[in-house]
Amino acid sequence: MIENHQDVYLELKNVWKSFGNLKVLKGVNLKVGKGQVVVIIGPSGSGKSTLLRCVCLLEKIQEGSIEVEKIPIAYGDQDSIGKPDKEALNRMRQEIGMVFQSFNLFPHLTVLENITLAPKRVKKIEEKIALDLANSLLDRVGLSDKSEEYPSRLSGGQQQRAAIARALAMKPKIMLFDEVTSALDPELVGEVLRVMRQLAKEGMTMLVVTHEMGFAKEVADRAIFMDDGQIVEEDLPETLFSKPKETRTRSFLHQLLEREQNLNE
Amino acid sequence: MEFDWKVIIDYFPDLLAGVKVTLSITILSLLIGLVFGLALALARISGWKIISWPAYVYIEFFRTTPPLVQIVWFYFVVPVIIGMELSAFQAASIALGLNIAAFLGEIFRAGIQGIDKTQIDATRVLGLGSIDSYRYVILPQAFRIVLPPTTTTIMLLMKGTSLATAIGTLELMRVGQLISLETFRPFEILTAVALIYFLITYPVAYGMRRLERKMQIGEI
Repeated sequence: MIENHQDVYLELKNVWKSFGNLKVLKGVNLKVGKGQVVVIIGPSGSGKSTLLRCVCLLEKIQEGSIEVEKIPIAYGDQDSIGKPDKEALNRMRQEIGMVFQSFNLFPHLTVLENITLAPKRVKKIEEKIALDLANSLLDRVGLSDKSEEYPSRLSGGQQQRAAIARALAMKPKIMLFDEVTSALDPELVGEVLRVMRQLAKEGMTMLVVTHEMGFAKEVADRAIFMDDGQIVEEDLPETLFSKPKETRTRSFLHQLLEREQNLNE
Repeated sequence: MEFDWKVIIDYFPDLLAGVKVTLSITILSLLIGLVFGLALALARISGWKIISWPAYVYIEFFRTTPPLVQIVWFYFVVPVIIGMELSAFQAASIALGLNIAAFLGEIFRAGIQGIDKTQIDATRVLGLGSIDSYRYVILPQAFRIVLPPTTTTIMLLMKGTSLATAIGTLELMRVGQLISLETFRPFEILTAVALIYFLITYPVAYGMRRLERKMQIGEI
């Protein structure tokens, strides 16, 4: 569902991934256009998180390929397209920002140091410029007054916003979000979604694993339902959520709805 | 029996000279232990059998043989092997250094491996190389974890230097023994020696605890 005039930014071609004998991704094909927001939903164990971890090169895939702007950044053992050189890979890696469910901020560094570490060490940016960048990012995620705090002094929502700022500091062209609101108290979810909504509005390409249906409907260009390591169905979020074609999608959405109702009661 | 202060005061300069040697052995062997211990830890977790296996054998060898045996062995056997004389001071420092390297190596390994794997994920997605991740993320956090067991090891080392008596190093314990024999006042002298050990060891415990508390700011 990429329009013809739109450039494909990220493309997964027949991606297979297994841990030992356990097949987690079974031939996933996926295209994300420049500036698109794609949301992935699906039951736990369906391979959503693994998919993101493969895209940000934390996991090696066994078969298929992952391309960023037509350049392969990962491919299976059998493919023999020749290894991309290390420098090109590192550059690619910097273009992909990742935010984790558990924030993964560095606890021994202040918020500011968390954000400036990679720009200074990886991009060799001068201290002063890195600080300016970090401060403007903190301003963007609404944490200007927390720059000198250690992560442990922040609420979950603040930590996650700091983690988003840290990823943005590398000026990525695509941001991956792995259930970033799942570990948060309900009242803190909104502030994180607000930052993500803003990012989407600014034209950031995003691949988002989430169960926040409201967010998906409002922000996403496309929604994907994954189950058992495969993409079962993809459509406009509105259509996928209200008129799913596949039975598996339907029963998952049903369960999700029931859970939400239980929570609201 | 009367406690004779005079004998302690008379021989105080000699005891102080012993303290100096005790502290020198401690510092020298600690330096060896810290550097070599970190190398052992990194070798153990490297995943390369070629270096992790020798590190493992080394660690278990030094942990399973008594330090007294190691000191004596370094003084009498190693010079024969390497064809070079070692002074009692050198032999004691090297033997104790290599000994605590084994213990510190295991402490450091546990510290590094105790760091949440998600921290490493975070450094990787930010594009930090492995040297930078170790330097700025893993080791600083591991440092906080290993501080308490390292303190204990240093204290054991300080007191362990008294084993060097066996090869005649003129450290505090040996000096105490010699004075006792000369003056026939072991009661006073050995009491003073024990007290001096306390006075030089306790500040380490105190200082390290202060450091620990200071490093805790900002921790989880």
